[in-house]
Amino acid sequence: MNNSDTEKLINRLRQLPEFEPPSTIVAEVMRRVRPARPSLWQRFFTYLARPHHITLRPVPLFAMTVVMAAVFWLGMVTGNNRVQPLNQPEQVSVVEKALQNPQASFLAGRGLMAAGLVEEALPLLRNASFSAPDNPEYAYWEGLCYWANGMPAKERTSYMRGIGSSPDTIPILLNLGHNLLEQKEFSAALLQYNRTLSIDPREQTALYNSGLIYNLQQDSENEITAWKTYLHHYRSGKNSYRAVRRLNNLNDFSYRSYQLGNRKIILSQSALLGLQSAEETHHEIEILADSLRRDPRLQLDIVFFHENDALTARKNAILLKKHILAAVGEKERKRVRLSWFGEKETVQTSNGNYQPRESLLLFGRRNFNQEKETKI
Amino acid sequence: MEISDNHIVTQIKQGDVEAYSELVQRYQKPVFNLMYRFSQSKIDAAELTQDVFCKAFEKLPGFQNDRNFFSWLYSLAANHGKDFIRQQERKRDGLQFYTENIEHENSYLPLEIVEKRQEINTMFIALSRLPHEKREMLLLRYQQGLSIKELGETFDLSTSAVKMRIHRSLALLQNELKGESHINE
Repeated sequence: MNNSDTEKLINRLRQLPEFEPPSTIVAEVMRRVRPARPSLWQRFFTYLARPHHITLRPVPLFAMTVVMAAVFWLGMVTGNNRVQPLNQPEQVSVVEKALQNPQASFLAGRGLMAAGLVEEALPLLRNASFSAPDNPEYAYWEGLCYWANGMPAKERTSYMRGIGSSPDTIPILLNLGHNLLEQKEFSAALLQYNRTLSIDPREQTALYNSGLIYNLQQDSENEITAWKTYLHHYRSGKNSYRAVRRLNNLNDFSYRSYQLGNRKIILSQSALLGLQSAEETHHEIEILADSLRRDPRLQLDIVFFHENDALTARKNAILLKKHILAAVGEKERKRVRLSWFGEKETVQTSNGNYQPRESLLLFGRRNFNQEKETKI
Repeated sequence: MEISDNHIVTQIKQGDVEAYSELVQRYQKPVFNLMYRFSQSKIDAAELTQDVFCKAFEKLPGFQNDRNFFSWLYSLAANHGKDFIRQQERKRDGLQFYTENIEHENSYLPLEIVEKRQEINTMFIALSRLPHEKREMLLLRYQQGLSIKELGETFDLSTSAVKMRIHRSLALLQNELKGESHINE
C-alpha cells in the first residue's frame, strides 16, 4: 500500500458519518446520578438534629414577655367569667322538643357526624329519615351514617329507599354502587354506576369504578373502553395516572404518560399518531403547545416508531412538528426536535415488555445551556 | 478556552454533581457510536450509553487525574460493550441495519448521494470485518482524532506498538475494501 492509498483511506475514515445520540441521554444520565432527595421525614430529622443559632435581643424579648403576660391575664379573666351550664332537666326537654322536628334532627345528626360522633348521630338521622321517608337527602345521610358505623346492609336499605323516592339522585346512586362494590356484588354495582353515567356521563368516580369493576371481572375489552372513556375526560390526578397504567398493562397505548420537564402529562397517543379525528389530534397538540408556552426552557423531543417503515415514522414526525409549530409559532422551531425509527418500540409494562407496531415517545427536558458557562 | 476534562472531574469529586453533564455532553456521541457498533440497535445503544456514563460516575472517585478522561471512559465503555455481547449471545451481521436503511432511502435520493452512501456502506462493512481492537483503534485515531499517546493509554500499549498496529490495521482495511469491491463488481 503506497502513501497515496494510505492518505485516501485515512480521509475516507475521517469522513465516516456518526450516528447522533438521542437527545435524552444527558438528562437521563443526570437524573440517574443525582443524589435522591431525602424524604420529608429525613429532612425534618436533619433539621431537628442540626444545631440552631438563637439570638436574644433585649427589646424583642421584653415585647414578647409583655405579650405573654397579657395573654395569660386574658386567659385568667375569661376562665373566671365562663358561662355556667344550663339547668340539666330544662336542657333535655328543649332538645327533646327540637328533635321532634325532622329537620332539626337531621341537622343535629349531621353536626354530630361532622364532629366524628357517628354512633350518637345515628338515632338522630334515623329519626329524621323515619319522620320524612320521601326525603332523599335524609335517606342519603342515614345511609352514610350506617356506613360510618360499619352496617353495610342497613346502609344499602337507606339508599334503596332514597332511590325509590328520587331515582335520579346521583350521590345516592354512587354510594349504592360503592356499597355493592365493597360487598363484591360487581354486576349490581356496575348497574348503579351505569345509571349514574346515564344521568351525568362525566361523573368521575362512576367512570373510574366502572373500569375497576371490569378489571376485577377480568373483562379486558370493556376495561379498556372504560379507561379510555375516563382518560378522555380526565387527564390529571392520581386516578388518571392509575388509569393510564392499567390501560398500558392491557397492552393498549391509546393514552400514555410523558415526562415533559418538571411536569408529567397524559396524552392520547392514538390522536397524536393521527388515528383519531382531526379535532382530537388538535386537542392533544394544544396540550403540548401549552406545555411549551408555559415553560420557555422546555425542549421537546419527539420520537416516532413504525415497524419496518421509517418513512411513515418520519412523515408523521414532521407532520406533528408542523402542527405544533402552527400552534406555538415558527420561532420555536429549535425547541422541537424529531427522531424516527423504522422499528418497534419496546415498552415496559408490569406484565413484561410489549412492542406496539406504531408508537410515539415524547421527552421534555429543560434547557439551561443559555446560562451555562462552558468557556473561560 | 474550554474547561479541561480533568478539571471537571475535580469539580465533580468536590461535590458538584451537575458538572458531570458537561462530560456526558462532550462524549455521548463517541460512546453512543461505540455502543451501536456493539449492539447494532440504536435503542440498545442509547441504554448502554446511559449505563456507561452512570458506571463511570460511580467509578470517578477512583479516577486518577493524571490519566486522560476519554481514554479511561472509552476503556470502560468497551468493556461494557463486550459484556453486553456476552450477555446477548447474538451475532447479527455487523452492519445489516445500516445497509437496510441505505437501501430503503435509495428510492428518493439523488444518484450522487446514493453513490456516496454506498461508498460509506462499503467502508462500514470492511470495518466490521476487522477484529474489534483494530477497528476501534482506526476509528479512534481518525474519526475521533485521538493522539498516539492517548491510544496507547486506552489500549495499554506503547506508542511504537500503537503506530505499528495502526499501520497493520490500515493495510488490513485496504485488503478488506479490495475484497469488498470485487464482490460489488
